Amino acid sequence: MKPLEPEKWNRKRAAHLLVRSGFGATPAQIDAAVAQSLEKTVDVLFQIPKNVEPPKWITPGVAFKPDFRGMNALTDDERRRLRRLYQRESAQNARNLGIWWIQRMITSPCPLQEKMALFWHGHFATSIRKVKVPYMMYKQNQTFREHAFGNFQKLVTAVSQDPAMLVYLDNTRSKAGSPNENYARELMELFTLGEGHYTEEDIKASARAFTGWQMQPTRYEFINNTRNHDSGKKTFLGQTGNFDGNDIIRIILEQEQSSKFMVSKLWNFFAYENPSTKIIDELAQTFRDNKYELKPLLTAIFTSNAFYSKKAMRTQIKSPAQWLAGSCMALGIKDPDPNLSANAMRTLGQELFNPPNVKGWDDGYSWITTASLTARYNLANQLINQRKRIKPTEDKKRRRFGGYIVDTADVLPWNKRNRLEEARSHLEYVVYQPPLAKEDRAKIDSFFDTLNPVSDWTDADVRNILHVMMSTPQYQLT
Amino acid sequence: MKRREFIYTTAWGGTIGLSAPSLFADSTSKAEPIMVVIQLAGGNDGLNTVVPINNDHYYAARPKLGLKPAETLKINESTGLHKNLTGMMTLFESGQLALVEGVGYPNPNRSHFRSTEIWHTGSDANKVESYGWLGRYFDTYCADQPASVGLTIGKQNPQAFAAAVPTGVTFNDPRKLQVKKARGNQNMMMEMMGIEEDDDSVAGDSIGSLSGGGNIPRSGNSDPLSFLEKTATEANISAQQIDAILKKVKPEHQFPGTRFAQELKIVSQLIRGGMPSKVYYLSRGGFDTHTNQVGAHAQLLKEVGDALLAFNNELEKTGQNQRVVVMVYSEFGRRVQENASGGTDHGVAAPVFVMGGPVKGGFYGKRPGMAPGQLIRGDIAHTTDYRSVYATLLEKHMGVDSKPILLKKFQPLEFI
Repeated sequence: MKPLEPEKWNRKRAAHLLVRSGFGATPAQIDAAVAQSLEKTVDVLFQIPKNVEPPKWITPGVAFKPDFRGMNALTDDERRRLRRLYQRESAQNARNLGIWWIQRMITSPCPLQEKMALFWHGHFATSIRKVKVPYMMYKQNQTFREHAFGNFQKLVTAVSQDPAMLVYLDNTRSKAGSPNENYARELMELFTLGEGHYTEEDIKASARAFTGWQMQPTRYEFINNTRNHDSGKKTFLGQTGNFDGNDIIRIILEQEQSSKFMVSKLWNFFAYENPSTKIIDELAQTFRDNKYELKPLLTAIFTSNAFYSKKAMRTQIKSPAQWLAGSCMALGIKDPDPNLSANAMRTLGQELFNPPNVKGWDDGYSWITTASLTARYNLANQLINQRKRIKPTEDKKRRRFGGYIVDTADVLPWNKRNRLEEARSHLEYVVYQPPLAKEDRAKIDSFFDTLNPVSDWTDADVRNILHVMMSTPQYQLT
Repeated sequence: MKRREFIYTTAWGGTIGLSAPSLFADSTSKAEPIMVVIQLAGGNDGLNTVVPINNDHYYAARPKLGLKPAETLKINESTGLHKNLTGMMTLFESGQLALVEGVGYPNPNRSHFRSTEIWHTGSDANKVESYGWLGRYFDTYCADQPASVGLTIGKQNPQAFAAAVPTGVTFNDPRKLQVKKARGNQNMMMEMMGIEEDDDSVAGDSIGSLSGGGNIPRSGNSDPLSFLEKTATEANISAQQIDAILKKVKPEHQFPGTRFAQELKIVSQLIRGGMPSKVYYLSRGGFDTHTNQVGAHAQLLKEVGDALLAFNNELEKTGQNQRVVVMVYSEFGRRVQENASGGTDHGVAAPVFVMGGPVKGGFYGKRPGMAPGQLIRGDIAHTTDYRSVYATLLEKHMGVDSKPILLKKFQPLEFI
């Protein structure tokens, strides 16, 4: 891949890199990246934070399956009540999980790790609607984080042994003699090769190979149950042997196709849709040369000239996660209101941990419907004008609200308010990051020209300006 | 400014002015056909809806839940409707209700989510399709229509609407469709939001004359920014349309106060007001009756039956019901054998109801056998593929070839 020439490293491209490899970027972060080289900036993207604070409800007990039947000391009624309590708690935890993740996207010191986790969540799509147990979804999420930009073969293996996935695609019910083909099929069709690069016979053979990869009966843990494994001879993608799941994964990744398949998915996600075969072939070569290590591949993508080309700049429709986390970052919201966060993701069509089906989200144009675009405009207004909730006290039962969550003096500091041009370009930087096209910039300019002198701007004026800037088609793109 | 070149050749931009009194006259029955698709979500117990009152196997499997002939509205010697379905019974007697029995698909899936997905995408059980069957209808036959060609009342567009070109207007609450505008010059705010307003077109065109729908092209290959601007404009237009219609077109008959009936009331207003929607999608949940089914199920059926009757009356009396066919389905039926908690578990085949002016009332499909040997893992086997029902609606009502939508040829039924 032709790398970006060092002298082309500037604010615009730095903003593009930070926003695409993460969820947003502040002017300070962009300026710091420009001051460093491209190489150094890319290198820093991969620094994994030591500790990820888990959600509060993650306690040692949640790793075990509740055994209501075994609670002999309880009456039927007590057991029923306990079960109901457990279900209510599960529902709460499930909701909390999505809120927790959005918050991580906003605050993580390694946004790329969260961005990749989001990519893997869409790629290895698994839904809590079938899995039911929030802990399993959390565990899978941590697996995505752990292997975010590690080795793809290791990741595929971890996913093939991931409890949530074992449940979601039924491998935990697959046994010698009655193999379930669900996982084997999707592994090839959606996770590694793409349709048309294997036969129905390959699916049958690999389903047999994966028999015995199950979930433990009492804990949400993987077990290789050899008693249920079909150890017979299988022929898979032209090779014959007494294969198990590891062999299948190895053989799949021996196919050049799997490197191309993954590279084009990653390129679509980070850069733009429908790249040339030349780009795919070159990057796929890099991927194979590095034994499916993701870091060298991602580095090649982020340092390539094509990643900064016209086709890539400000052409991507923000996913709801990108929209929400990015909006919070732009507005300085570290800890968005949980209700707003959950409601926004549902309304905008990307309920985390609940993708529509095993294909994940469609991305791109499909994020935008008349309803979701209207909701984006209205949610921006809500984010900007939301007030802090004050917990109800004994004497004052009603929920009360305090000051605004968004501090306009943070978003537009006083020292940026000397001249209109200064205030405007700072706000554009905060809200849009990579600069707008000339034509769109002119539109924004004409809006600013109608405003009072900067020195007269009130708090409400700045909020209104932000509302206008974020309720635009341009804001939906990055 | 290439991206601004989409135009609304006739009415909508202008009719937002809404001055002409003739605007909301009920459009004629010659106008475009309309489908209303309703999902009873959760898996409706078909056997206690259309009850096989002469079947000993039914009573043997359901000692507690089985509905005795006297507890049903008897249609014939072998069939009674649940006693709360008085609304449906009226429709049946007027010859406007078709009961299609034993509807399902091969290799049935008993998961709500997967089975719903199968019904929505019109796929085989072992195949995952990206787009919905109605989405394919929009893509194939409605390319020149506005996004509101499909309209959902609910939290989000159903998977059935998923299309190559995103289509469909959704609202839970019609008021939520409105954008809360920032302060400032009105035109400037609209411009900033990417909303194109057509000031020049002539006000006064009847909405009814828009029988082909609006004229906003849905184009799949525009650049992202013009796509966004087009969507913003469409959102604004449909919000204005819906708001205007709901204000002007008032129901002529009483609808029950239930949420479901109120949703159907809105649909009837929109149809009468000439909304350019060809497909309406509604859903009523709560049918997953694993425990203590009797009261809950009876309540649900009353709500659905009464609402449908009110809806049909309204359309009939306002001369609209020749345009409209309603299909009511559930993602699966329920197990023949009742369970130990006074409920029923996920099953397979179930009846589908089709209602409306163009419908030839009566029984269709074939009632699945219920002898132990005829059951599949405790469930009645399907006798009619659900896509044959879709094919009938598409070919005989909407007047299109169903093959590109259903991906293969399914034999239409005779109920239209």
